[in-house]
Amino acid sequence: MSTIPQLEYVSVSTNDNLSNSAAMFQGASCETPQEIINIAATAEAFAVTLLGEALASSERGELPLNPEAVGTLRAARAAEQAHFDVLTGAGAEPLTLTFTVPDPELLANPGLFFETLVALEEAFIAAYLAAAQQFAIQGNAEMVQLALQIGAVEAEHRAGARFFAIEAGALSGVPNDVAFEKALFGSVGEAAAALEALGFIGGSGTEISYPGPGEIDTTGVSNLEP
Amino acid sequence: MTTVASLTTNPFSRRTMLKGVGVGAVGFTAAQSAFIRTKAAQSDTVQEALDISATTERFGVTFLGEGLASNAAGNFDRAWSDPVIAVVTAARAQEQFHLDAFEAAGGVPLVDTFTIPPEFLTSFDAFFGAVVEQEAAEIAAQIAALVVFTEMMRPDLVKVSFQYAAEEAEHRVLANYTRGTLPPNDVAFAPALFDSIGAFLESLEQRGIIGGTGTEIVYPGPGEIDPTNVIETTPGGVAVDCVPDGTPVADATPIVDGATPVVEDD
Repeated sequence: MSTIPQLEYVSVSTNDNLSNSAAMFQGASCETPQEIINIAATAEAFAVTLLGEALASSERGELPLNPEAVGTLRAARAAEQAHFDVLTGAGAEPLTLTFTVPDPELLANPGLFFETLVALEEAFIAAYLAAAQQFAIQGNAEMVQLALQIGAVEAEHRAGARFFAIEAGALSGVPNDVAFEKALFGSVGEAAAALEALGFIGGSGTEISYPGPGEIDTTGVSNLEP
Repeated sequence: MTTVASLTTNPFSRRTMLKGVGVGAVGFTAAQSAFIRTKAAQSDTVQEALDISATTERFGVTFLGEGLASNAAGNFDRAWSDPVIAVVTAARAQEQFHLDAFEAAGGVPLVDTFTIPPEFLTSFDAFFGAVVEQEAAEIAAQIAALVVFTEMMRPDLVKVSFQYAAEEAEHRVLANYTRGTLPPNDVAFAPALFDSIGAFLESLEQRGIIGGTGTEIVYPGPGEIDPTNVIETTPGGVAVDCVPDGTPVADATPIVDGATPVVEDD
């Protein structure tokens, strides 16, 4: 009689899907909650910093933004700071507080800025989506909820960025172009790797440091805690 | 307040090992829908969540369709601009895709008739204010449902719920902008309004959207659903595939693999 150790595990499983059972025992360990919130806090710190730099560029007249765009970015920055505060309050330790801007044109060209912001927000949404699934696998409902409470706001930022990118002629279509937010990553670490690959972490561009210039303005923003 | 202590994983349990941790990486295939239907049949609360989610998406399709038709008939006190029409048209298609996904997972909408105050179809501010309120409630419903999906060890449903609810947030912010709220992105965390998805259903009844005395509207509402500008029409993409730290892992060789040598008894 053949003996395949994996089948002994699978034989007691109530999961009828053998391929999933196989995947379950082949899968890597989930990222720990600490790893997840460390990366998330790093991403939030980056967002606070980049938005601060963009607002400062706008004030200097280098990045032409209309008042509505400025108001949206100010509020978004306040939200990212609130996310950072909750995560660090829970013990998150950002991996770095220094970031790089791969292309100086990013802080001078509204179309490029907002198009880039769309891509970044999609990465953040997908990171929180990966985090939510891992927290669910680990049985941590509270953190699953927190991931969506943050991820939903990042989706609002995405739609807003698409709106202004369309206005600037950099994108076409409608701001709300997806029926389901994109699931880009199998782990939160993949999101961090994506930021590195894009040159925002450890790149060769201009260095920017958290929190970036200017005060963080929470005017008009509520629900500053989950 | 959330602390590191609350972040520690639950101890590995046999229950964790026994339950499925996902249904694949390609979103809702027919096999995955069947799997979810099977699991839903084993849990009333998961079924409730799917049924209520499907119901509210039916309302979304219907309400937005009625709004578009009322605008086309010139009934609003302020006519919608072309970009607003495009946003609402896409949103209606998205609600239909959401409904499709929940029904594919076994969700059965509870009603097909809804009730709204008549001014929702004549007052620009009332219509978009209602959209803002409803979208916030739907996001909050999923925040509540995530507890059920987590407790039932259904990360596959967590994925779908998140992908859907975050997209409803896009509707919320755009409706907020349309009605003139500045900044339109006026919350830092999506509000957790309900303790349960059942409480969300009750709120629909209390607000008169289900079983109320207002104008009746019936799914799917008037006009064709136009998905022209919509992508990502199913909750696809990458699904997380991992095991909680500390889970015993057997030999990592594949089970179903013709190349895997079989150990034979003597």
